Amino acid sequence: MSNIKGDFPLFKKNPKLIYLDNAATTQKPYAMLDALTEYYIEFNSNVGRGVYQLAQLSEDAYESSRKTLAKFLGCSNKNIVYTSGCTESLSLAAHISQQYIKEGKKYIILPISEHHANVLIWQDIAEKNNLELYWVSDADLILNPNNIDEEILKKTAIMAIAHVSNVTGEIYPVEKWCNLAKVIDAISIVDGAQAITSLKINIHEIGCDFYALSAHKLYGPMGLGVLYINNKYLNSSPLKLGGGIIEDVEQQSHSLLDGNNRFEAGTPNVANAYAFSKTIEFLNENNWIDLLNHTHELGKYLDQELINIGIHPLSVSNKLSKTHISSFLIPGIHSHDVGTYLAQKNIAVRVGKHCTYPLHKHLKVNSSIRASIGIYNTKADIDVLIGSIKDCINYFNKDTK
Amino acid sequence: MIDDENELNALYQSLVFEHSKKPRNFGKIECSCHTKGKNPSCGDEIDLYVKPNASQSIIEDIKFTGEGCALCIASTSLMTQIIKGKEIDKSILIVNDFIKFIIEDDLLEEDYEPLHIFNGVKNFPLRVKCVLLGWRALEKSINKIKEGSYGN
Repeated sequence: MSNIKGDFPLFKKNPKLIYLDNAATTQKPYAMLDALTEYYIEFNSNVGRGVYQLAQLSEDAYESSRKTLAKFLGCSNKNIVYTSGCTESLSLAAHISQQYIKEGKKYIILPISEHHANVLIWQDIAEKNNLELYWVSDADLILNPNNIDEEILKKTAIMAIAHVSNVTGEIYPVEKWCNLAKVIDAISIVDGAQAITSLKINIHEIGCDFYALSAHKLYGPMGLGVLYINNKYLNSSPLKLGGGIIEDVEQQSHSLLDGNNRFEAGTPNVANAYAFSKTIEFLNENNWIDLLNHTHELGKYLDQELINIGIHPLSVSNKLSKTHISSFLIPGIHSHDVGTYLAQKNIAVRVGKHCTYPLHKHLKVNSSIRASIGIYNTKADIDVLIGSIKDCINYFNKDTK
Repeated sequence: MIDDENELNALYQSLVFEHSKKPRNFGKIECSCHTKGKNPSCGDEIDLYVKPNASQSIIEDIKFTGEGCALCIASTSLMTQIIKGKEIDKSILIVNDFIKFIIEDDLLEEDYEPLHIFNGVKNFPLRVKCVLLGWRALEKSINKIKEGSYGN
C-alpha cells in the first residue's frame, strides 16, 4: 500500500504535496496516462464506421473497455453508456426518466444532502413536467424511506439519491431506496460519483434504474462519465442525436439503433474509455478491496483525530457508516481562511459549500472545510493535516490571546 | 516554510484581524439602498446598506451585515469607514481605484493608506473575490442610487 504513491507521477513533480481533495478529483496513475498515449499512437481512428484494421483495433479497445467497466460495476456491458461526466449522466437519466412519468404522479424525492448535479436537473424536470421536489432531511426517513408519508410515496415519480454524500462521506441505504421505488412504481436514480471510489459497487444488487459516475473520481481521465441504464429504459429517446446511432434516416424522419449505442451519438471519448479501463485494471491488480479498506481506515483515523482536537465532522445521521470524506468547521475561523492557511503548508483541501447549498442551509453552516482521502494517502498525511489545523487555530487567534 | 509564513503574514496583517473580529459599521440601515454581494465559489454573502443624502450626492451612512472570511469582512469594514460621508462621485473613483489596485496592480492614492494592507492578496489570486465582495456590492449600490432605481 505504502508504495502505490510511486505509481502517480504528479507526486514526483510535487513531492511535498499532501493531497486531500480526492472527492473533487483524484490523481492519475501511469497505467492510465500510458494508456492514453498508447491509444493515440497505436489505435487512433474513429469507432463504428471503419473497415480497416486500425478502426477494428479502436472499436475493440472501446467495446472491451465497456466490458471491463461492467464487470467492475456488477452489471452487463449492454447497460453501460459513456457520457462526458457524472453531471451529463444524471442529466441523461433525468431526460429518460421524464419519458416515463405516469399520470397522477407528482413528486421527485431526494435527500437534503444531494450534490447540485443531482438537484438542478430535477428542478428543471419538475418545472417542465409539473412535478415538485420533495426533500427528505429527517435522518430516520433517509435510513427508512418506507416511513415517508404514504400519500407522498404514492404520488412519487422519481427517487434520486447519492450513494455516498460528497460532504459527509456517509453511505446511504440506496438498496432500500431502489427497492421502495419498485414497490411504489417510481424510477430510481443513484448518483455514484463518490461511491465509485470508496465502495465495491454492485449495480445488480443495488437494483437501481440508473447509476451515474465519473471516471476522474476513480483515478481515471476527466471528460468521461458513465451511466448504467436498466434494460427497461434502453429504447428511450436519447439526449443527443446524430451520427453512429441510426438504423435508417429519411428526409423527414429517422429510426434509431436499439440498446445502449443510441445514447452515444457523435464521436465518443474512445481514448478516455480505453484509459479508464486500464485504470480499473491497475486498481484490480493492486487489490481494490485492500485499497478500499485502506481509505476507510484512514477516514476513521481522520475523524478520530479531528474529534481529539474538538472538531466534529458534519453528519446527516450518526447511524450511517462513513467512507473517505469528512467536512468540518473550525469555530471562529472562516473555512476560506483555513483553506488558504493549509494551502501555504502544501495541503490541498476544499473549502466552501461543495455544490450542496441545500445541505449547508439545512445544517445552518455557511461553508465548511472538506478533506477527502485517496488510495495514495497515508496516516502521516492526516497527522500533518491535524498538526496544521492546530497551528492554523493558533495563527488566527494570536491577536486575541 | 518561512516564505510561506511571510506570504501569509502579508495577507493577514494585524489590521485585517482587527477589522474581521470587530467590523466597523456592522448593522442594517432602514430605508436605504440595499444590495446583496454574493461569492458563489465559497457561498459568502454580505448585505450592504447605503444611505445617500436628500440630493443623492453624498453617502450619508453605510453599513453592512453578513458572514464571510477574514479578508472579506475586514475589507468591507475598512471600505465603510473610508466611504462614509464621501460624495457619491468621489466614492466611484475610490471604488474604481481600489479594484484597479487589486486586479491590475495600479497604484493607490496615499489618502487611502489602510487599504494597502490588501496588497498581499496579489499573491493569492483565488482570494481576490473575497477582498472585493463588499466593493462590488458598493459599485452596484452606487449605480442603483445614480439611476434612482432602489426601493425603500
